[in-house]
Amino acid sequence: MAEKFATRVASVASGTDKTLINVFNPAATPTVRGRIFEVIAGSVATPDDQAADFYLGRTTAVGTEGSGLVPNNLDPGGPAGAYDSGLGVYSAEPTYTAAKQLLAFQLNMRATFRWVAMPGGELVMTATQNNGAGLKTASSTSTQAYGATIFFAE
Amino acid sequence: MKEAGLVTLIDPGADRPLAELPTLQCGHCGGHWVPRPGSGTVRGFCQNCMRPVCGPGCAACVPTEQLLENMEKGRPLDFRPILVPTGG
Repeated sequence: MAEKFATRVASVASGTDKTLINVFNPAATPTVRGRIFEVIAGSVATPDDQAADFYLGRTTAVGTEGSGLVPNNLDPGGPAGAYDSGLGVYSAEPTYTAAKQLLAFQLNMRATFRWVAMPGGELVMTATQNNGAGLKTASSTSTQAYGATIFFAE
Repeated sequence: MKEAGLVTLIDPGADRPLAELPTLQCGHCGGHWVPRPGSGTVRGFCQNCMRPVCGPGCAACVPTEQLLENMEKGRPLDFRPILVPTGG
């Protein structure tokens, strides 16, 4: 049975191409494909009528992350996973595969967004070194702070 | 068409979700979208793999599994092996 993991970022300022989380496989010869089955995003700033355009896409290079977080296994007794995650603020953005977006949504900062895959509908990441998927704000009406969580299985 | 995901929008002042929207998954790139009839956005349906596709950019039938394999092996993303029927 697949192990399930979670990674989260507490607060990243929105803007043009500002990555919140990048989930990637650092292994030289990966043997598993990660499968994202849930994404949650919401603002942690004082509510206002501002909005941001979010983009979840495939990544092929990790960029320069603000900090790293080893995804937590949802089973406290479970093994460590193969995937790693980088959190914003990025000084050099991850490389996104053009025209292969996996999920896109626009969100007023007063609301919270949650997407859950139905069984078989997960977003599958490639088993290639440093490839994975990243969640970023593609644009926003102002600079807003957002937090996000990504759940995936491997 | 079979729903592949569910979007829930939550407002802190509401006692129930603002919206619950099913998503469809592209049979080629694997991406999800919320179908909005009348939006004018061009979507499609692949009659080869019998799955919805997210737009003209995904019109060529490269199923998700093949796309992932192409990415992993460094092939062009639209690569498809030539299948030759063999006798017997």
